[in-house]
Amino acid sequence: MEDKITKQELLIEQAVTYFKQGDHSLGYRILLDAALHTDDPNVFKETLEFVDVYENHEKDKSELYEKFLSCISIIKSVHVPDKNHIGQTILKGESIEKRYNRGKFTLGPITIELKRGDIYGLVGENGNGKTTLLTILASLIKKSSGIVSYSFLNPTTDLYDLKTKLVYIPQRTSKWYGSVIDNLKFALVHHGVTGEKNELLVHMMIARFGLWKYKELKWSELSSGYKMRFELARTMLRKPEIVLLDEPLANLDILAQQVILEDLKMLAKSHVNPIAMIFSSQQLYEVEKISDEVIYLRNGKPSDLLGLKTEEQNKLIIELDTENSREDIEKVLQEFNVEQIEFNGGVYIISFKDDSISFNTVLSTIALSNFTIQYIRDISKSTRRFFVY
Amino acid sequence: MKTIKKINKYLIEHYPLIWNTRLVWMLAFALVLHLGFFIAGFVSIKNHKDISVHYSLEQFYYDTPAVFVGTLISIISLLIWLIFYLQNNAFKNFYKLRSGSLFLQFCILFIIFFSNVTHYFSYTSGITTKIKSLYTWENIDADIKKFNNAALFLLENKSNYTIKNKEYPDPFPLEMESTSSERFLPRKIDTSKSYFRYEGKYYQFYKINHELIQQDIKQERLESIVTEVPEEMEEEAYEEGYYDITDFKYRIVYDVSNFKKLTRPNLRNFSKELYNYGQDSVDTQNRLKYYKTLLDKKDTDLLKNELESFLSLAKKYTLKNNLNTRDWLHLINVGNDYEFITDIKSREVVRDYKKEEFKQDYFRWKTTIDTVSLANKTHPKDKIFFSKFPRTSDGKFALVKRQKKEFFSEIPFLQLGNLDYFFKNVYTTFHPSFNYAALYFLISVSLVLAILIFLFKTTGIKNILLSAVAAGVILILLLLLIFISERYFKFATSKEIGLLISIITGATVILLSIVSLVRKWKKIITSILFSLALFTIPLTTTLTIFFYRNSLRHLERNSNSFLIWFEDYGFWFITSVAIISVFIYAKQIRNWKSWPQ
Repeated sequence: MEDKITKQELLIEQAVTYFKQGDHSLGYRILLDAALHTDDPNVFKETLEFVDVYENHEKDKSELYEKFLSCISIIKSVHVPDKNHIGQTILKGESIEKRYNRGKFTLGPITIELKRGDIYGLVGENGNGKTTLLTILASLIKKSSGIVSYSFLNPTTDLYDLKTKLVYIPQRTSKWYGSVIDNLKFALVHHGVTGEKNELLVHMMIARFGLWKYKELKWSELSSGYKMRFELARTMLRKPEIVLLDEPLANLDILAQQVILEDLKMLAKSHVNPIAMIFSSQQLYEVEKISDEVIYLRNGKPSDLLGLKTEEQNKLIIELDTENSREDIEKVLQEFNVEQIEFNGGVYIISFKDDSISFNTVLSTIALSNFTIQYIRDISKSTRRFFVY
Repeated sequence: MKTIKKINKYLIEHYPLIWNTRLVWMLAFALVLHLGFFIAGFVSIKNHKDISVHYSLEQFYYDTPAVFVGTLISIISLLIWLIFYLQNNAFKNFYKLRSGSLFLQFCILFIIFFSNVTHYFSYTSGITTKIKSLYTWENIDADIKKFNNAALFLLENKSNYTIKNKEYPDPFPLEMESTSSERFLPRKIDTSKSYFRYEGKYYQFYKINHELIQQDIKQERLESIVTEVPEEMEEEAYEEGYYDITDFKYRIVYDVSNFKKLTRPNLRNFSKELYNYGQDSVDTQNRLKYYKTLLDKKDTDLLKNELESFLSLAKKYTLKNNLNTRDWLHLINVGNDYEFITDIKSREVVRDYKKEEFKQDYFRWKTTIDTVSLANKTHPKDKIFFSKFPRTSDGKFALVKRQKKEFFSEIPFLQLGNLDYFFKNVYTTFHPSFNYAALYFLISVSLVLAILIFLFKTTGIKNILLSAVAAGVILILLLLLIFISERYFKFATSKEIGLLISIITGATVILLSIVSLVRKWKKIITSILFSLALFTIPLTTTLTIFFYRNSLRHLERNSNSFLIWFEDYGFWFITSVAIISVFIYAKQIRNWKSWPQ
């Protein structure tokens, strides 16, 4: 039993592997996560020394491998036991309904169960109730009916205490005044971390979310992407058990989106403090990539209520962007039993009748024909298919 | 800057509330400001003239630009502070807060406001410190006594020298009734008792028998009045006709016919205390004794010395005057047993026509001997006239004695100026009585501001604006209700109706705020209600006590132990009520904040 490798050790191994193979940034972030898991001020001190070197090293980061390893050895020296909180239900919502405008719009009924370590993507067109559902789960607005219950590790004492545990990040985050570092320290000190540890932990979080070079800046001097990173750093300092994010990827460039999504995934799956995370977004591909489950909302109703899943789940549906005409597509795909070709002005959504047709078969047929493709994707399992009318 | 950063770092990492409220810096700023105001007060006084500028020490702050500077600095500093204070809001962001944290925040706000609006105390402390460094009370007290002694000769106002002012010897002071009409004699003077006639006028001197009046009030015919007139107004009541003080039975008559000459204005009547600061009854007795001894001696040299020593005192205090002992002694009129001749002007007579007018009053009679030749005096009447006068040795001339008016070269004046202010301010400095009115006012201002900013921080600007509108609407409704009630329901006085309706309105707001918090009404409605309630609670409590006071009879009010206690500690009681209500509501505001919209 003693030889059994812990999740922390696995994480450290991952960090070393990534750094060694040249994925420095990923290895570095995993190293910081591992260090944060120790919750040890001495480890933080040593790690921050490495952070300072890493952040100021302009040349090839591979040169820092030795220092990286020495930092790893310090992190390793602190035993972090497995907590096994992942998979525990933290939020249960049953038949949640919200009626607006005297019943002209009704959200739900929605039944939802959030578990620690799971990421839930919430998709749907604008005005279909994504933000409403998030704010109901965050207990920010009243629901018309239904039950929402929470199971936190430490029971809440009152309603305000409950709110301190529910972290909701709106699409337009609040304005913050003063420096990044002061705001983070201010957030952390309220959660019981004072003195030197406050200073160290804030710096650790600053490093973790790539804000090292901007720590002395004011919030107003940060770009949108860094404002979101700041918001995540502020959130994570509160050690939340549930995080609800409304359009966190809006206004971010593609690179920032990828980094944020990756960070969200790493944070949610943390073995020490796994978080139930639910976020809404219009970036379907990215949402589906990191989510354990995707909830699609149309007119306030979830996809399961719309009956969309069961009806279409076995048929092939592809999304295609091409300069060729509709006739060319029909010609190339004439051997398959095409049910419907729909063009929304940008891309074609093609549905096939026959369950046996696979994406690879269609792909090879297109590859052999004289056909130009800008983009093609199998959306049979994706909620993207629901955006077709 | 490094130290400031270091302190800020320490505070944010250990005491976020203190860091957020900038308590340390605001207190430090207040300390510097108080020191500044202390120094300003200190240097504003250089000599006795500076101390004489204002009637009281409070006026040195409130009647000078100091109050504007203080207010301006307070407003600017508090506005700058507010910008920083409102930047970080742990409560709004649902950071973990201890249950008493909001109330603690309110207390800090109160401390910040109070420390930044109380420059008045430092300024006056600066002034009093400087006064103490310039003077000792023993010296000033001695000078006050000198001035009071010399007041006898200042001849400021004829009315001070009438017998009504006489306070010595026993049985003076006495009430006086006089008439020159035989017809009114029985109505004004109790002829069955001692009285006298002097220079065509009848006089009677007496004391009022207050004990007898009290007995009558308590026992007999005045019983009905007693129930309506409060004790402190009884004197005023019988002056206004409830009791007939001309009723001779209330007179204790004294025979003072020995003093009948003093019915004319005379220095022997003068008893007034010029400056009473720090002077007690022993001082008064000593002074009156001094007057009597000095006047009885009729020693002009001694009087001259007294006048000269006063003139040197006047020089010390730079009192404007043109007095000379010769003219002054003449006005004191030793020869005619101090009968009042005319006054010494209280300020310099500048205008020529006035000088001419007044000059006629300031003269002495001078005897001259003219040598008149008798050679041409043949008329029998002349012969008879000149026969009265002695002749020269050759018998040709008569030595005629004449009385001529010799006018004073100047109209005498003595300008005491603001010496009264000076003595009062020095006395207050050495015998300070704390300015509770200013303290109460500043505490109230700080409390209102603290509640307002506390609500702003916890509930937001929207709530504050809507609460202000709601307060305005309630006030108008209240006035309307009072107006209608006064007009159509005449069951009580307008004061009582106003109080009652205000109490009912206040109580309704408080009750609704409680119901809204318990029943979880709409968030914005609830916040408006509890915002109004925080201001209404102390007001309604005060009005309720006033209403209770009004409901009691006058005499009961004075004997009611609660009202007596309230008179002494009412402000602290109401302040405590306000603070306790903030404490209770702060807990509810914490819950309210977490309600879903």
